[in-house]
Amino acid sequence: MNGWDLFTWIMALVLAGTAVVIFAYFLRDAGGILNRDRGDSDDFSEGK
Amino acid sequence: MTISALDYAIVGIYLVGMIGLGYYLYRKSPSFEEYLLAGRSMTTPILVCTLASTYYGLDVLFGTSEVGYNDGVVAFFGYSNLSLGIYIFAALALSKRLRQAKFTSLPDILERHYGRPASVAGALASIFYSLPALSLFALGRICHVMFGMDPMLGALLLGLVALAYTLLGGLWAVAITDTVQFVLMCLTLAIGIPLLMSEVGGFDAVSVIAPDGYFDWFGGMPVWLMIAYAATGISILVDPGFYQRMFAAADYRMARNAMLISVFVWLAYDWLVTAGGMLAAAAVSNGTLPADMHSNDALLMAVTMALPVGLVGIFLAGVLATAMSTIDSYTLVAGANVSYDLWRPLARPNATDKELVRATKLGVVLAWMLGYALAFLFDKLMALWVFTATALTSTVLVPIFLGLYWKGKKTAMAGVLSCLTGLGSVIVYYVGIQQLGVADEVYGTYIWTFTLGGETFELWQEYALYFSLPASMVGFLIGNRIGEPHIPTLPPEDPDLEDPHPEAAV
Repeated sequence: MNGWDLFTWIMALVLAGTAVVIFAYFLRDAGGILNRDRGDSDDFSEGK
Repeated sequence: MTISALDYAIVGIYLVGMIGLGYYLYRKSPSFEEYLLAGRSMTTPILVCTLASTYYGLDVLFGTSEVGYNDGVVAFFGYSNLSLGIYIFAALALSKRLRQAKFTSLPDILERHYGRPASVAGALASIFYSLPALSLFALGRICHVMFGMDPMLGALLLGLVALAYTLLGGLWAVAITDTVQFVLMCLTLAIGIPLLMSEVGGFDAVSVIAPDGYFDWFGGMPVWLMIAYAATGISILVDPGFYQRMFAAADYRMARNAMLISVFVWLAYDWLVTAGGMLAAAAVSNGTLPADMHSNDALLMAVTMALPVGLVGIFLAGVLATAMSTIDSYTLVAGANVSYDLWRPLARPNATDKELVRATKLGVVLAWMLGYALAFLFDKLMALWVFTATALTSTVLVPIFLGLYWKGKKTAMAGVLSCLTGLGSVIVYYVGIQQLGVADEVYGTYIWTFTLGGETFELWQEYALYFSLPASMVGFLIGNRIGEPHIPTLPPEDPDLEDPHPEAAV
């Protein structure tokens, strides 16, 4: 295998691996983010 | 370009999903800080996603791949890689100070250290820089190449999707859609490029058609030009989108870690788009792709050719995501500059949170409309973007860094003169080089060649920062000499704060 081919495979694995791991950690936090308090003084909810 | 019904459906689902997310999140903006800075509660994973996807737009996807297609590995080693050192510096040097001082916007730093006039100058430069003209233009072009749509209509429709969810949910909507977009961007490229490599026969096939210097790390690029390209990475040190994410972090460690992780993402991303351009050149040479294809479309055409039905739709959604993640972030930044940095101090000092959120939304719409108008009125958008980035850096880099780190006296006059001499010197330099120099078709710039003491020198338009940053420093020193000391406005109390304004204690 050409050295540039190998480098490309490594970079592809780094990018895909990082994206998957980061997204998994995001999902761990997502519940808290998506279920944040929806009331408060939101101008939309006050019928702006 | 032939696209299957399944791929169209996937793109449609992506677009509807983005608006759906914005709608779901729109009630989660109870205050201005919540709307603009997500309540300063962002954690590392979401910061990585929004940083990586915002700062890398279609200019990188297609610009870097085009350089790879034409010039080879220099696109990675010469153009992209040198900037990464600046990103690491930004992570280590800026994240703690920016987050802990509880700033709200980039001009807010200038206001606290130098007062309102410098803040207004910084806000105007930030708005000009953040207008999404280049991204909207590129979005229109993508729609034309992918779907055969009129570019103006394509930019209008897809740009309105980004505008809609930004207006609805503020930074939370921007960041969560950025997260989806980040995954799409990374995975489709990580799958597409190896498939393309297999399709064309790998880099062995590239080496057969490669012109001289195609595999040279720096490709014979002039050293001063190389430094100038690397210096474009300096713009992240004053990039309003980067600052907004630092302010929005739950704490500075999360901001720093997110930035450092993003550097690895950008490194891998830069190489894959460079490789994509080079492999596309091999595909053209062996007749797989048409010879009359524009080099700017090389990556899009080549990866679409290599992917199977279904993955093409995901890749195209990833391409749209690359543009939309940039449009949403910068329109929000520009909107906040209009409301928080201009309207509030100049017209409504006692504005309530509700009024600020409303004004920010109006500012977002205004910035989007200006960006759209510029996108189709101005024909040299890349040059315009380089100019706005240079102008912003020249205007605010020196006063912001001296504001954050200089422990001695600072005056309001120093802030104003530093901003004005930096900006003025860029304008003078650009006009001067255009008048004295000649247009270079190869590099797409202006170069002035002159002789001094028997030696021949070249001044490129890209060298502007070599002159404007020293000029800004001189302006600061003169202003500091003749002005009255400015009492900095201290930030709100923060238990973790470690003397973010040391001059206040001097």
